[in-house]
Amino acid sequence: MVALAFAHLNLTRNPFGQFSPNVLAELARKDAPRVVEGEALQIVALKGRGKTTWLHAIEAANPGCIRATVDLHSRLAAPAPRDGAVYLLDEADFCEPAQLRDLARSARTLVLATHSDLAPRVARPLRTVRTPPLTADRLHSIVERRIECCRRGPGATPMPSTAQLASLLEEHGDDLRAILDRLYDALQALQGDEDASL
Amino acid sequence: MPACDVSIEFDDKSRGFRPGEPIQGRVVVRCETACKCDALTLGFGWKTHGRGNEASGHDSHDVLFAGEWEPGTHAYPFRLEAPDGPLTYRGRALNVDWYVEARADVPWAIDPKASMDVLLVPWTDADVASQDAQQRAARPQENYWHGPEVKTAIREQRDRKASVRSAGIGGVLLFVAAALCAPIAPFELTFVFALGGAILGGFWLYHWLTGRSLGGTPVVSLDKAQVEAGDSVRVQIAFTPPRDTVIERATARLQCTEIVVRGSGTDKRTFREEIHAEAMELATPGAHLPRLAPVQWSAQFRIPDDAPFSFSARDNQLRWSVALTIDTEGAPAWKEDAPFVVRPRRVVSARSSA
Repeated sequence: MVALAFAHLNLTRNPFGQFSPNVLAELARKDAPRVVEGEALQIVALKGRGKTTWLHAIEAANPGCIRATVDLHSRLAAPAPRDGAVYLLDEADFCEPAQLRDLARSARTLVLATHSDLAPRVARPLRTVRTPPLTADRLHSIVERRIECCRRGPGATPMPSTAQLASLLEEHGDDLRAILDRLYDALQALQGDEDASL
Repeated sequence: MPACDVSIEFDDKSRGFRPGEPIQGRVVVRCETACKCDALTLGFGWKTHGRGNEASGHDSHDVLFAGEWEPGTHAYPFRLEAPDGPLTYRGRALNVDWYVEARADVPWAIDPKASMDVLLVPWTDADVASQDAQQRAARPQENYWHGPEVKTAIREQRDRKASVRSAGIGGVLLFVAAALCAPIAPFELTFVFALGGAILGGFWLYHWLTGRSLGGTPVVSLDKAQVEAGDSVRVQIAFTPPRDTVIERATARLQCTEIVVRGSGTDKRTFREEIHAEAMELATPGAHLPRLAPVQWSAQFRIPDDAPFSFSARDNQLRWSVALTIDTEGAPAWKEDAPFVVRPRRVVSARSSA
């Protein structure tokens, strides 16, 4: 008979897979920037560095906010709310210039996730936040939080060693997603009853 | 700090259930101090986990209690019925699991909650010793639920044909637009229209050419749209070559693949993990097909007894299909994928009573 998922590793699932937006928000709660009412904020980072995860965390911290993603074909997004709710826009650098200007004008509190600096494209001061560099400490903390989030019960769980994390950092730089992909495969291969390192 | 602690206990500690069986247990609430609860809810549903975006669905949602808790321990028994599907699945990129979740809605505090996974497993012949088990196991096979988005072979073929046709029409329209724009619009716009037309037109032309070498698109049929694990599926392919044709390769390949999508927008990525594959030759390489002589080939595959069952939800799919490839001399290879659905095997007693 099939066994409970990852019970042999004292986990409920593979912690390096894709989480639901709610769980991602919870994991990134401490790192995500606080949004001040009335400001316009842009989160600038390359692909796979945590922009969307931060948007999930900001969304969870601001009930009633509107979260939209620019449609890559039409290059348009949902209109900004009229009631002053926080408006979060993912893939903002793909937005039509005219609509982006319009959103920046009409949204009272605006958060943009973008690959490049949008300050020259909007007629409004933008506070710029960048996802922090992926250091060994930060990577360890991210990995630890993911594992704790999937813990099945008290006792040991697998944890990559400091040397393994350093080697992954050296190989993939700050590409967190690539590192998590490698850890996903490593954890899938673990049979349990072996040492708890990955 | 939550105002109280919520946990879930099951009568059956193994937490493994078969469709139709009762899932019984209790939600236990421990309060240090008096505590108001707007609703203590019990949810039961499935979720995917793995490399792809999470998909989920609810089977039931009940309110067990609302009111004031005194300090101490309070227990709320529950009884659910194990649903018909999707069954628990363990894969490489995709997993499907069922969860019982309890949450206490406590005003002005963090809502205490608990979640426990349970296994939904198929009936086997060994399980149906008792009369009661036989009755439960005899659920109609049609009840088995594969997830919200399973497409039939007919619907997939129709969608594919429609997209090829749309590409052809779109390509023509873009070329016309490019021709109309050329004298009046900037070069860049004309170029974009022409490039779009070339891409869509090329897509349509490729499909037209591959079918043309076999005298039009071959007719592919499966003897069943739904197959039980341990059963067989037969695929047939019929066409009439318009000229003398030499076969370089003609194969049918049974395959089961996990297909999951992670992320969205520019960050979207699709992962494919093949978990079962076996191929069969439909004709020997070098075989000669005479002009206008109808050809009919078939291949039969046995689905393994322990085959995983089809599943399809948003961004998560476990897909069975027979992939057909016919490569003829001097023409691009023709390919078609005929999907079908694999469902759990009926147990012996259920089969005899059906």
